[in-house]
Amino acid sequence: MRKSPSSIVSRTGAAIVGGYVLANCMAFALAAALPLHQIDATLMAMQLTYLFYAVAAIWAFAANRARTAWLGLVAPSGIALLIWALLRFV
Amino acid sequence: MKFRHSMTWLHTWAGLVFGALLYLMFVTGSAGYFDLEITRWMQPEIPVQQSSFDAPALLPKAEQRLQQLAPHADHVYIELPEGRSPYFMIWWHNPKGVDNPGWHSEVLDPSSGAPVAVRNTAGGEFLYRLHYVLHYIPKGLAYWLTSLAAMFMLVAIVTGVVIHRRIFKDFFTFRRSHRQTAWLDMHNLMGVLPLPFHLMITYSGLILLMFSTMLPVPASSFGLNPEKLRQVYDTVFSDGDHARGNGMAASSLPLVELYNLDHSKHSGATIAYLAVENWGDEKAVVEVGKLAQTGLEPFDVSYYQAVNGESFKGESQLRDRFLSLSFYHVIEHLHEGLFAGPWLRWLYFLSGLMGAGMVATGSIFWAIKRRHAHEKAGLDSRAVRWVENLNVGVIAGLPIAIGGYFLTSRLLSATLENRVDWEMHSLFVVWFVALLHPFLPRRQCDLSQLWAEQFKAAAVVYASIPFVNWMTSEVHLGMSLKYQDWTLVGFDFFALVLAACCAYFVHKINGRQRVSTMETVGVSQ
Repeated sequence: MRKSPSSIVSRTGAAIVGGYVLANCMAFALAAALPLHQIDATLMAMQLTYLFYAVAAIWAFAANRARTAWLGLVAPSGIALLIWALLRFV
Repeated sequence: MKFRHSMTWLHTWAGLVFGALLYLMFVTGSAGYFDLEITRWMQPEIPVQQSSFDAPALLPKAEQRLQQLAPHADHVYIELPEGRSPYFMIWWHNPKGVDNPGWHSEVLDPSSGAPVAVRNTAGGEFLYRLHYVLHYIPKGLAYWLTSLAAMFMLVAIVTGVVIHRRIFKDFFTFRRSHRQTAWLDMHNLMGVLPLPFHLMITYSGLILLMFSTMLPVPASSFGLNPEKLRQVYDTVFSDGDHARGNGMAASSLPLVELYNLDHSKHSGATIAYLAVENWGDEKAVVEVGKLAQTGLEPFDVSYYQAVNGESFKGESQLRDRFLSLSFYHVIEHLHEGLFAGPWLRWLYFLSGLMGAGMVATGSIFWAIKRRHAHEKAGLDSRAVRWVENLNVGVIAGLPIAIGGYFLTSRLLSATLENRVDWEMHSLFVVWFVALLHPFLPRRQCDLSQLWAEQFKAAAVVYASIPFVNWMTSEVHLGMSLKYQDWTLVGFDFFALVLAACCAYFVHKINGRQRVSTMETVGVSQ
């Protein structure tokens, strides 16, 4: 794979940090949205975080450009966070 | 094509970056499946069990000993040497306000019931804990590090499957003639055969630490107040107090009567332990655990009121109501494998070792490929040599260190004050030496010579284990074979098997070295 060092650093950051943030935001939304007891829903979401994380990490290296990789993580994180906020505080 | 290239790159680096830590986790985690057996070997004061365990005769002795040692305990527990457990052992918990609060234990002779003064040892539990608590660093940091490594592993597994379009065809391919591809084929074999195990063990390992690494999720549901979060955690993981004492002292039935009662109700089941909550209280409850024949729970459990032997029904547990929690428990049981009988336990162990082998061969394959590329391009290959040296010290060095840990345990005085600490240090001291060894300056240094030297050391260490056992204890192969104590036989015998494997590696390496020397000679002529 011929990618510039800066692209690799950026993607690694996206995979590790961006992936962690995305996984958590998805879990926030899921825990708020699942029609279960709050503890049940939270535990369910927690156990799925690693799946989101793995998919996010793979995406970070599969995307065509580093910038696309970041965008593909930040946008769904934002949407998930919005869903969580709406369900939890509105 | 481009996608597969990216995934190949990711697979390589995800596996490589935490390779050493993952190798350590696979090896020590696998050893953890035999933690009790290892601890038993490390406590040679316990005599070989000479006849089958006679519970009705020995249970009263254990109860008597508990009354003598722990008259004020609120919980007591008697473990019987049945199933996997080699221990006849009593445990008691003193409440606050009594002398020596907390849990204590004593080992009893499984033939006579007399107390046995065993040495302190870090035992198999140390190896088991090493695979996620590590050592010398704070627990919280270790949880994060091991979780991060597991996350890299998960990514390496998924990308590994993605890049193998012909995964099943590759699986049946083994090209031993060609050196570089032989390493790749071996890597594929050890990655694919136990693939379901690797996926399960990695994902479940992550989940078991989720309350450390994914704390933002419960915080998003329940707020940032730590007390509230602690409360949620306790609700989720409390075993549920089955009974509350009322503080009124009452005399209970002798435990052996409850043992017999349960035995008559469930004939054919083997009772593995008895536990009493609120010992000596009017509301005391006795828990009788039997070896489970099926399912993921290691024990089938019944509860009785201690004063009259009537059945006692506890509150229904949270896990029966929450889908997520029953899933969590399945995951936990699968990871820990406590339910596994001897055959499945060995399969767990070997699958774990294959995980270690997968990481190891992957790293070796990477170094070989890099060296080829560097030499072809005429680049400086010192960095590659560095990785090659590390591979030797990690892959061959860790088994030497673990063997050294077992030997140290036997060679240190049984009464030495800090012997548990020194046992643990010994593992790291030996490993450090093994890591250093490939970097020592010497006149001529061939990589395969380093491998051969370390595997030779490993072979010597493991071959000496049964002999050191013979010299330092009464629980050697002569005795254990005579009385068919398979736990002890298994330990010594497996040490010999490991020694044989290492000797075989040395033989292979030397053989290949001869061939390559002959080839070089042939070319120069």
